[in-house]
Amino acid sequence: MAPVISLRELLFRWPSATSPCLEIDQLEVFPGEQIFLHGPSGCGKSTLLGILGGLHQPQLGCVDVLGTALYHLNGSERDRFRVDHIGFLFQQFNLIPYLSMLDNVQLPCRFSKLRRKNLQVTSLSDAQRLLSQLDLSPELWSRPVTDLSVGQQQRVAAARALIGRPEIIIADEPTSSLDADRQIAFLELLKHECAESGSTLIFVSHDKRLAEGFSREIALPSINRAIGYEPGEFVP
Amino acid sequence: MKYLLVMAARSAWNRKLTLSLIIAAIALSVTLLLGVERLREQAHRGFSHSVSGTDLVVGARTSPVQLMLYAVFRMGEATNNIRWESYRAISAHPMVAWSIPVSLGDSHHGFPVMGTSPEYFVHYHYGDDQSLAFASGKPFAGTFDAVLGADIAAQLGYKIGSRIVLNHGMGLGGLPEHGDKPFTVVGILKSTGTPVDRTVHVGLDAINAIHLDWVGGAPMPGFQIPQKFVHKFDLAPKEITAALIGLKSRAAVFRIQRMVNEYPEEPLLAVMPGVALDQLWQIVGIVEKSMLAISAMVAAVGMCGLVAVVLAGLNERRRELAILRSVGARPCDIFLLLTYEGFFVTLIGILLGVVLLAALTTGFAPMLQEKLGIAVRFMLVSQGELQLLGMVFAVGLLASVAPGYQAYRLSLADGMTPRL
Repeated sequence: MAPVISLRELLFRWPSATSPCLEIDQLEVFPGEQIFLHGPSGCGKSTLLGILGGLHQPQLGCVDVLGTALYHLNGSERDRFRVDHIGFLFQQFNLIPYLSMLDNVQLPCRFSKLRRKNLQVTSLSDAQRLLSQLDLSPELWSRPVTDLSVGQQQRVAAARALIGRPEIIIADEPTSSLDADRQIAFLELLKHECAESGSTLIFVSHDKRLAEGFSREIALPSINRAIGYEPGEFVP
Repeated sequence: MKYLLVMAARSAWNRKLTLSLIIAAIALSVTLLLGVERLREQAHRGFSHSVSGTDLVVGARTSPVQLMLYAVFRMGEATNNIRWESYRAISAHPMVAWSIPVSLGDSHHGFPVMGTSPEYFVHYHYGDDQSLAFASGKPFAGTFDAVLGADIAAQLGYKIGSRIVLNHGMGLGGLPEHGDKPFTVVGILKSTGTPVDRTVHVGLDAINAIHLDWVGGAPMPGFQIPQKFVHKFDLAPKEITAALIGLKSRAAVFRIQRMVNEYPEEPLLAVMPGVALDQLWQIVGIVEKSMLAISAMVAAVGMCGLVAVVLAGLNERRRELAILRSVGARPCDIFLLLTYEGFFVTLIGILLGVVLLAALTTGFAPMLQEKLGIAVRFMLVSQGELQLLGMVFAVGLLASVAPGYQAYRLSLADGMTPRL
C-alpha cells in the first residue's frame, strides 16, 4: 500500500536561524492510520505540520503527500492541494467569529472544488450531518460561534476539517484547552469520524496520556535529529 | 471570487463601529473638500461674471483694482469724481458704441444707491452676456423713480409703489436722510448673483435733485427746496463717479484706453474689467487656495485614518487570516479581502459625503444667498468635482492596498500559526 505521507532526508531551517529545526531521515504514514505525534514544545511539531501542509519549504529532502511531491508545486498549487486534501484543526480560536456555525463548517467547500465534489449531498446538508454527529444539536446552529463553549467550538472546527472527506486530517493540539473528560470524549468523536470518512489522522499533542487508542505513536524528538535527543531519552 | 465579497462584508459588519467611524471621517472630509471647492467656484464665477460686455471702466485716476471695487462692486468710496464734460467728450468718441454713467455716494439701509441713465438697463450685461431683466415694473422715467435689485426688494419687503427714503453717504445708521424727497419704487430686477442685486438704481438727475439744497454733506440750514419744485432747477449732473464704456470694435480698446489715460483736461483712468478682475481675484485667490489646501489635508487625514485603523486591526485579525489560509484561502485571496474592505469603505464614505453635501446645500442655500450673497445651486457632482472625487477614491484605494499587502505578507509568513 502506497503511503499517504512520505518524508525522506528532510532538512528544514528557518531563514533567520543558524541551526536546522527539523532533520528527519524517514517518516511514512499509511492510509487510514491514526498517528499520535508527540513531543515537548519547541521540538518542531508545528513546523512539521507546516511542511506537510506545504506552507514551509524544506531546504533538503522529499515531501510526498498522496503521491505528489510538494516540491514540484508552486505557491498557489500548494494552497489548492492543501485545501483539497488536508483538513486542519488547531488548538483554539479555530472559528471565524463573524460567520455562523454552518458557514464556518462549509468554508473549505468555498475554496475547494474537490471538497465540494466529495460531498455526500450538499455542503449545507453535509455540514448539518457532521454537526449532528459531533453532538451539536440544531438549536445551537443559529447561535453566534463566539457564544459557544470551547469544546463546542472545537467540535465545529472538527466538522469543518472533515467536510468533503479530505484524505488527511491534521490536528494540532486541539484538546489542550479542554478539561480531561471532554478531551477524551472529543478524541473519541474525532477518531470515530475519521474512521467513518476514511481519513488518515495525524494528531499532535505534548500530552502523552492521550495516546491510547491510536494506531501508532511517534515521538518527534526521537526521529528529529536536529534536536539531539537520543530515542528513549525523551520524557514527556 | 464572489464568496470573498460576502466574507469581506460580514467581516466588516463584525467591526462596524470602527469602520463606521472611518466612513464618517471620509464622508466629512469629502463634504468639506467638495463644499470648499463649490464655494470657491461659485465665488469665482460670481466674481468674474459680475460685469460682462463692458470694454472699459472709466474713473478718476486711482489703482485699477480700486476703480473696479467701487465702480462695479460698489465697495469702498471713490477718491475722486470725473467731470460731466469729460464723460460727454469720451462718450462722443466715434468708436464708442454706448456709455453708462455711474454716480455713487448715497445709500439706503446700507445698500448703495447708484445714479445712472436708462441705457443702463439696456447695455449693462453680466454672467454669460445676460442683460438685466425685470421681475416686475419698468425702468425709471420720472426723477423720483427707483429700480431695486432683487436682494433689496426681498430683504426689505418692497413692492412696486413702495416709498423709500435715501440716506446721504454710505454705511449703516446715523446717516442724514434725504427725508423730504422720497422715491417711488417703479421696478424690481430679477436676481443676478452680482452686486446689481444690492443696488438701488435712480436717475442721474435724481442724485442732483436730492442734493440741490445740500452743502458740504449736510442740508443747508434754513433753506429747503420742496420736491415739486426741483424741476425748476438745472438737474444736469456736474460730476459722476465712473462710467462704463462699450466700444463698436474690441480692437479699438487699447486706443481708447490710452486716449482716456492721457486725457488732457483731468487725470482719468480706464481699465479693462477682465484684466482688473483677474488682478483682484489674485488677491482674493490666496484665501481660496489655502481653503482648498486645508480641505485637501482634511481628506488626507481621513485617508490616513483608514490606513491606521485597518493596519492596527490587522494584528487582531492575524488569527482570522491564518484560519482562512488553513481552509484554502490563498495569500492573494487575503489581499483581496482586505482590499475589498478599503474599496467599499472609501466608496461608501464618498457617496455619503456627496449626499451630505447635497442635503446641506439644499438646507443652507437660502441662508448662503441671503447672508453671503453666494448663489449655490443644487447639484450632485460636476465634472470637475468628479475628478476630485476620483482622486479621493484613488487615494482611498491605495490606502487600502497598503494594509492588504501587509496582510498578504503576514499570511505568507504566519502560515496557519500566527506568531503573535
